Amino acid sequence: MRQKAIPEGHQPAPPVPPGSGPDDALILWMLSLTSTERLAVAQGFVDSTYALRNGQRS
Amino acid sequence: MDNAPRYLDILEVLARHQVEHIVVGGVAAILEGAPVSTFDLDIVPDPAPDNRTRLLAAVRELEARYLDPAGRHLVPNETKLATLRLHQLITRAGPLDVLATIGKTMTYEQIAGRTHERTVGNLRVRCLNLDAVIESKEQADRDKDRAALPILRRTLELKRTSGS
Repeated sequence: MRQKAIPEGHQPAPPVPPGSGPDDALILWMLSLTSTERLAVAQGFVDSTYALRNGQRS
Repeated sequence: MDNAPRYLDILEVLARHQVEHIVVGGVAAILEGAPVSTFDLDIVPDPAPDNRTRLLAAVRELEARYLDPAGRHLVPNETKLATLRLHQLITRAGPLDVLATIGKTMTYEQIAGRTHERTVGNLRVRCLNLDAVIESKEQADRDKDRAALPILRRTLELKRTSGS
């Protein structure tokens, strides 16, 4: 199937914003993890946050 | 700024001292599979006197002191653990909240039947079920609780439909 030519100067439409509700894909990914892995995800988040707040870079 | 919470380190010390407790709040929600963030570990200990003694030994090993806006160095003791309802502690492994109740009046005895054990690393961790976490946050009704509720409720829905 041939693609339509994009007119010069055409700005692509902004992506449709996702719904404002919870992200099912993220929840399902989290649910696929073991408890140990879930806690590791949370630990990674707090470690990164504290590092940023303390001015460190990974 | 105090040190970042190291959840597993705190849980290991509690386990080593055989402190009977239930993990509640944000960490319980995370262990149940909710993609939320939290910066402290919340527990509800069994209020039995012998368990309180073990809890005191554990928090002493963790070098716990009370979070005190005035900057005083206040440490837990038997009397405080027996009488205060909320202990916002700063430990060498990060913040630890020790709670006598959650929600409005949910006590250890009332939530004990709404838990299950999860394996976390080498530990068996007794964790509040997600439906009870939601109920506690509905009762607490603080801004941060209301903000988390849509994710927690959707996680519970997806858990039930996916059988996770």
